[in-house]
Amino acid sequence: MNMSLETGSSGHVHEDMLVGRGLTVGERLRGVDLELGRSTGLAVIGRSGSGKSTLARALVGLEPELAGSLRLAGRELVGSPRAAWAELRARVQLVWQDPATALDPNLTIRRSIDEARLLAGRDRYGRDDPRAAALMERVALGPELLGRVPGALSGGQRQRAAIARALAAEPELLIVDEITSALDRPVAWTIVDLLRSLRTASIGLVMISHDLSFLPGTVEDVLVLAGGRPVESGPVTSVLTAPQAAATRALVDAAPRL
Amino acid sequence: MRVDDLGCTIAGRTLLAGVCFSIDHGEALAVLGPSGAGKSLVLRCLLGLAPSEAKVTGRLQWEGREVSLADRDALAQLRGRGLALVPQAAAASLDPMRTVGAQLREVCALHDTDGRPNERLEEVGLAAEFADRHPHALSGGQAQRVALALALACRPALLLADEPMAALDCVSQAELVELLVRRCAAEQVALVLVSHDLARVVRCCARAIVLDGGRMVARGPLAELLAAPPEPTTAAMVLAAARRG
Repeated sequence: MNMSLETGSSGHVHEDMLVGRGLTVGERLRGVDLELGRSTGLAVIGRSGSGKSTLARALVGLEPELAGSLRLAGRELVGSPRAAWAELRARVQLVWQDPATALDPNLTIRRSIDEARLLAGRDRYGRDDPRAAALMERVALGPELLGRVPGALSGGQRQRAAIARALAAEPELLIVDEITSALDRPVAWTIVDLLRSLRTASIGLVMISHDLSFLPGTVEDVLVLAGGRPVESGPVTSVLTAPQAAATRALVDAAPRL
Repeated sequence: MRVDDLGCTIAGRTLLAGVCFSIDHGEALAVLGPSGAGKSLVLRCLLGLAPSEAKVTGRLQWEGREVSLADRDALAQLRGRGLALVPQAAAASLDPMRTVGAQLREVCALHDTDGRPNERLEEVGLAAEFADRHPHALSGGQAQRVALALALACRPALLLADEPMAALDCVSQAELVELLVRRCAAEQVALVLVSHDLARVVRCCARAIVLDGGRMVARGPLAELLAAPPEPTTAAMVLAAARRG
């Protein structure tokens, strides 16, 4: 089953930076179509093993077995030499699930940010560069944390630092893979609020989550995966209130409510 | 069982102070609080497994006996049939080199209990063929069920569960919590369930204590804590759990 997300349900047609057709990774991901850009607000939901993280990894070039078509600004990446993927790194950033292992434990936050900028082909921030402090402010971290290593930060601070590292590359699209699942709920909401503020700054968002309560107000569209295949997609409000696929219904039914 | 005035300090730093609660056979108590509140440390102190440099104080009233929480040897005697733990990272708690069945048999042999792995697996909703599997061939939810089977294998009086559902997807979370509560009720095992997800435990635990910064900031029937949070930590938790969009 193929499906495409032509436009956001917000109605405005966007210029798609990254277009996937029939994205397939072995048995783990089968035939996903999507179109992503600065105005994207897409949640990918599904149970463990449904292919969510595989899709995230595929979209940043970390799945060597990727088949199908993935075009960056019209240029085909699948089957291209590794150098062709380099531009993707600057334009699409992935924030990993586990804040404890997402950052290099030996690097201060400042050096992690510098590393991300260099990998994305950007200039390094200088010692007292106000841009570094401004970046930290954007994720609600004090500039004094630039000199700390990840081990000296709390889980929520680490996840913010990981988002800062991703933003340092100045991406057009941010993919976040279950970034709130290791956090307690009040802290998780502060991260979701941060993601919402990034969307208003015209950074596209692909949010992988199994926690459906974070979706409304954060993204407009949702793609449901089951067994590696897309089984349902559409506007968040209608998919969550009137789920069609059995896999979607199971997720909606299992969501905890007070 | 009753815990009185549990405290824990490491290098002069107070990590837990004044934690008290009681629990009866077949009852379920939630231990709630933000990350870093000391929830997991409470369980480690009760099991006599606090870090070796930690100074633990307090008393455990156990079926008419009193055990000092500083007495690690006495607590070690209770591990197994007295108290058992379902850890957060179940997969990491299993021996990667041995089959599920061998690990179940070992636990039963160590504690001199009836060791029929197939029945133990059936109790947690796993087919008999899982006995021949190694941990790497289990999903997260299956590994968590095996950890529960291991914990229940010695028929403990009290089961301590440390965020057992945190790493699972929401469907598996709902299934595991339901299983945990059902098994404990069926065997009259008291359950202490540590969680930072209030919404997930609200239907299965009648009472709760709330920790923050190592101190018990609230305790009481969960329904009352929800309806009228007595202090800011509980209020923030209720607000975050109730928030939609």
